[in-house]
Amino acid sequence: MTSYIWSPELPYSKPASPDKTVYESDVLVIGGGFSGLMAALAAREAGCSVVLADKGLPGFSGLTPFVSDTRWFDPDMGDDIEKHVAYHKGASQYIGNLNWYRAWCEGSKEIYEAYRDLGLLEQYPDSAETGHAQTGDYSGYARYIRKKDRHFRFMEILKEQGVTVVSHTMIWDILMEDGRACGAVGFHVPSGTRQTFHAKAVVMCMGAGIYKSAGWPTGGISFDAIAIGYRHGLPVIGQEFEDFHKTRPDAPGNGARMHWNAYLHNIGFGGGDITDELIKVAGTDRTKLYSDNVEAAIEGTAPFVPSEQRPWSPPPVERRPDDIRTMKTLGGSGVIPRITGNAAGGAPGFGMHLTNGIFCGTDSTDGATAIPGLYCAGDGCNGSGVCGASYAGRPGFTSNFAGFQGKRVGGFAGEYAKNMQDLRKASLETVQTCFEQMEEPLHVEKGYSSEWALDCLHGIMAPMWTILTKNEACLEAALTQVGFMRDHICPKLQANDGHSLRSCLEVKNKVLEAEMKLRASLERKETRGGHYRMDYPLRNDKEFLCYFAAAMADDGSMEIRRIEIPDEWKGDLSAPYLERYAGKSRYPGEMEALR
Amino acid sequence: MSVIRYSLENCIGCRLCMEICPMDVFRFNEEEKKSVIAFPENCQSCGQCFFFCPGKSLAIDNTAYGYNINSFRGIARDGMDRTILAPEGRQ
Repeated sequence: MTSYIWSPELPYSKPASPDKTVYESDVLVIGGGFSGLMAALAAREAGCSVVLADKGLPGFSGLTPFVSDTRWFDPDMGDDIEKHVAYHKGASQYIGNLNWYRAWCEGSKEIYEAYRDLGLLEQYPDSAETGHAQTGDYSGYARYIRKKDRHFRFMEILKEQGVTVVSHTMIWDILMEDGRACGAVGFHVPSGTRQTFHAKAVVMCMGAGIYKSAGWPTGGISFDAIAIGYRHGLPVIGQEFEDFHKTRPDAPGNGARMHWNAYLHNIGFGGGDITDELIKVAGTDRTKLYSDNVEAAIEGTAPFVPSEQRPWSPPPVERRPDDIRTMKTLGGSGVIPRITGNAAGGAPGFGMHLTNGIFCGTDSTDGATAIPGLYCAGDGCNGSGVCGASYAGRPGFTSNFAGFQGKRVGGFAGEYAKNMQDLRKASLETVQTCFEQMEEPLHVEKGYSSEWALDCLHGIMAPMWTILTKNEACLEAALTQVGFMRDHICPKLQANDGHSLRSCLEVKNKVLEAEMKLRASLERKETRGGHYRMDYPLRNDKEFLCYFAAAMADDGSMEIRRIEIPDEWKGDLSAPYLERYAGKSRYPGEMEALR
Repeated sequence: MSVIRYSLENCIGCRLCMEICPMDVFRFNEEEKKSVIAFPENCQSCGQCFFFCPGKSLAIDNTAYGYNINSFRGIARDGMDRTILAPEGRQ
């Protein structure tokens, strides 16, 4: 690159290619967040050799770096499983997967202990106590906590446990031979070098996805797992439920301002009793976020004034004096302001935690997909449906459940791999075909910039009339535009190096998911949790206590399939609407529609 | 841009920003041994590079770096022109 004296930054050298480009292992784990970490450790414990590939650096990529809380079910602290399940039923809007939830109740304390023993839950003074918050010296606080910082521990743990880590590598596709998954292909992003992974079992833990960070950082997640699964014929559920995340209207481009406190402070512990009173209002207890947001979207919001924000303090929940789960988080002293912001859509496209992903069966809790050898775990990958339509697990659930699911699925994948005598590799022809598909953007003669295409997609999907305050006309309009991008833009996305290749492939995955989201949203003609339809503001328990899966039809088009769920999850269907959904939080138009 | 250069002189060439950035924003200049903010349009302003930069070389701007949406746009074969227009022109 030519250097000009007024260039703000120096020109850069071409990044070096990695020395190793072919890997063989019993288990390949894709993604190094909580799910991937625990999956890798479980497979190692089963005696497997493990390779873990991450698009960035484990501990710093995806959503894992930004965790603020963790929670677990603790019978020693008085948690009652039937009360928890009764609450979860309503809070998930009666479509939460209770098989997974019960399994989590039984296994979650072990995950808390594992995180603690791995050094991920170190406790230290918050930034108000040290004085860094008062002076706004966040990087000073980062230096203060560096030795106990959890982010750097991920790579240390993986190394200590003998996992081979391949970082800054994007996986594009899994390798298939004789109907089995037997590895994956990808590339080292900075240099564009091809990477081949041969494995007896593959566990996809790549996290969820968004269109573009707009003040709420999500670390490069781009629906990679569901895109791979969909293209191989697997069903994907939950795309219609959006988990709204916010930013600050006075600094919407500065995600660090929203997240420095969660990122740097020690992880807090969520807990508190599930009381009979809470169970009664479970049906609306977790929907206030969504109903408040759609109301603000419809009416507009008052100007945001930072000085008027209240300091954060723990929510009022009953807890026993010896219960260490006290929600000490985001600066437990209560001095540090929690800026809630009044701009929704900091991460448009972000689905309901742990509900959406590849569907593996309502009775399955092993993470095995319909493709032998292919497993999925964690947020956005495994469509367990556990949180249903709204974040029923409560603050801190995701970080524990992601690891719980990762550990469980990694263990099953490890068993599968151990039962296989030889590593049967994909043929050279299969590998070559996958690479050629992956590198198509590098050979497009006349095409389009993926950065431009991403901004176009973001412009279609982010506005509230597409994603928050849905209605038939706007959903159909968006679907028409996304369909155009799918047919005319995606095939011509153009790349000239590893960085732009990553961008092109991510846009292809995002356009695919956008179509899933729009089709599922059109199919679900009701409001439920993080899916609000202006034209159908009521929950319709008669017709929509089910999942909708996006899947490839025989002609290659996308169809939406209905998936029935067990009656046990649906609660008392004879109870009146306002009893099933008791409480104060109402969606715009809900009460009017009831009359 | 979201991540911006606070002081290039302060950069100690440790490459930590390159290693931990999840969005592949950074590259490295081997001659000067300095990091390079190569792809600011991909920065999501998570702040991870800023928080842990040992040299205090980086800062986080309130605005996001990006281009207005054109009706269509191709790629630039040799990369983006990161120079600025300044008094007295190029030298």
